[in-house]
Amino acid sequence: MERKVGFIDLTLRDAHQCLWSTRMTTEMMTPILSRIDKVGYSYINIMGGAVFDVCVRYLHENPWHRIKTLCQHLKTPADGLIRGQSLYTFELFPDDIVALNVRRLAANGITMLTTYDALNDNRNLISSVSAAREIGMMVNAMMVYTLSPVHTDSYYQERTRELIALGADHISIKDPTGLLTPERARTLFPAVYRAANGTPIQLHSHCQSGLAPEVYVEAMKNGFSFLHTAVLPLANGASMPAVEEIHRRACEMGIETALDTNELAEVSGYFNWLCHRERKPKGKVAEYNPALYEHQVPGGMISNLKFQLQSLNIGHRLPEILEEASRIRKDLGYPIVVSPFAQYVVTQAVLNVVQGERYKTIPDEIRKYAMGYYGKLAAPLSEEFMDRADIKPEEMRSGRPGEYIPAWVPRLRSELGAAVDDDDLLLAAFYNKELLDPLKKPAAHYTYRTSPLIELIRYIGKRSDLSRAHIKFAGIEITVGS
Amino acid sequence: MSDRNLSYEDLLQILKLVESSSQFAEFRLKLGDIEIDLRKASPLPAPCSQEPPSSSGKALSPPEMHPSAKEGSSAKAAGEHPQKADQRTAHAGYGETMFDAGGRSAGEVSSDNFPEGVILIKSPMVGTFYHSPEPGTSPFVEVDQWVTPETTVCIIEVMKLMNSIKAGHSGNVTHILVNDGEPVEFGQVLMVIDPNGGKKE
Repeated sequence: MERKVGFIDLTLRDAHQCLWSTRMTTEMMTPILSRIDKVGYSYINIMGGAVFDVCVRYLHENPWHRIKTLCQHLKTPADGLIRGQSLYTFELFPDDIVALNVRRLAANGITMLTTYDALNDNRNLISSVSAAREIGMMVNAMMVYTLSPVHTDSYYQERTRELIALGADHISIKDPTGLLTPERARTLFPAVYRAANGTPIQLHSHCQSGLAPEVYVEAMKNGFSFLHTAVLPLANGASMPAVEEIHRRACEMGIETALDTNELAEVSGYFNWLCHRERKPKGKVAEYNPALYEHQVPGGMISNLKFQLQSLNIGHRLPEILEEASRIRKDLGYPIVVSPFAQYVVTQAVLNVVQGERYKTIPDEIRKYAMGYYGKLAAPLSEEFMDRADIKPEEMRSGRPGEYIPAWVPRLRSELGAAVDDDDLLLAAFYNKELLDPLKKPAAHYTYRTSPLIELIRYIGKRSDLSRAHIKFAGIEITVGS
Repeated sequence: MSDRNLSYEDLLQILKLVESSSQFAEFRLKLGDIEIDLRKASPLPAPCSQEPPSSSGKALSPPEMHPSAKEGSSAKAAGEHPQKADQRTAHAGYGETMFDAGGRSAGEVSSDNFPEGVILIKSPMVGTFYHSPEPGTSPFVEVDQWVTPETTVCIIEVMKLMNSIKAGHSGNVTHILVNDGEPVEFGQVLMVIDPNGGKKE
């Protein structure tokens, strides 16, 4: 077994997606890139579904510019995540859009493509993986972990073999809601390791249950090659384990890492300061809560649901709705409780409980899911659901979902004209004009270095309520007055 | 505090002191190697509560004003669809029907005084009412149109899921009471159908 482990940094992507509603801007990242580069990470994940989307919708930043800017200033290989055939959304895109998107990620500097399908239907990875392989891009293909009677160790062994057959350079176990326990890891990880047959394995988990660090220890014991972590201020809670903690555990186990702890402390210090400067929350270690394993509904969704139920004056029926959600999940063939399937299950549960009758109203997307529009289901649909949904046999789909979607690039090209570059063409495929107009502002001027003293001076300089500021430190003396 | 290397930890400590002294006109700190001397422009206290939570750099409000606790818990879901949450917050509590897209006066169609024998199509859930399949396309149904039980009359969107609502009865659409894109409540009357009225076939 290997006595070496590599770290994949998620601070610039999933960590702020979980803790800051994805609101970290490029401007906050650039000053610390040169230090991040010295920490000794194997890969740095900089792009993913929600990040791309929030860049456009809320930060009014061009996500392609972010990718290019970060990649230009990082020597460490950059990793970009897509949701397989759905890219940055939950819709399905045609194969030509998926392939063009992969080529543009590579052209803008991404070296490792990470891709997954929320149903673990690996036919939804074919177009992205083959596009990456064509241009010699590394591929990390993920399988999503969930708890159900059908998601057994051998289920994941089968998925592992499929991913390797597709041509993945690495495979990952992705545990988006932190459901893995050390007990399950002790059977699942050796099983997947055997099936991987030498292909490096990555682990991606979250800390909602508080157990993730222990699960990471199991991964190290079982020969996993790479672990997904974030720096301490942006770790824990809904985020991933802290790189500091996992590094310490690795050292205790006599496992070698490439991390430079002095550089890491500097980077961690910067993000700790950034939390303060930007008034954003730091991750807190979550206490173990067994309820997480019963309904599996993510915490963010429960708080949203509570709000909705209160507006219906049925806030007290939440436990009933969560129980119904468990039954619906079984009826629907055990979808993984992440977006968008989490919304399906929860919305259907509310409808069933509020209407006092199961499946009286079935949302259109749930019928489409049941018909196989998004891919193969993990288990058959229940008879009760089939009966109520009244899906005709000719409406069922069994082919690869991407096959049903006509090519899009030629049409977009003729609509937008030859002058439009591929990055803009893709943005036009994903978003309407109103959302894209604000992206046309001139690119911000980014700074690429900082230090605590520079941050102090910038901070004082931005306080408009001061008439005079005087700072003296280590031979430097600055006085500003108005 | 170290002598030569100001660390991020030092920086945080210093700024916490600066921020906790915002009610004073003058701030002086001498600690080891570092000296800071700040003077306020006017004796007025620094503005606190109106500071937007994410404004970069302009951190005048004292640390206890952090909105962070609120943001933390639902961060993941909010990251995906924050605008939805906003829409819902903005809308609270109209149980009455108010709009009449057909051009009749609002008073005529409050929920209590629909004519005898009509059928009310009610929203099966809280959500957003959409009158047409896609933005800019023609509506599913219009006033004075004859519908059958299977006719889709509108879409109600809940948590990004689209629910096609069928008429459930045959009849003539006499009122459409909600505007396209408006939030609707559970049980809110969306449309009125007269089973006997209009151009029966």
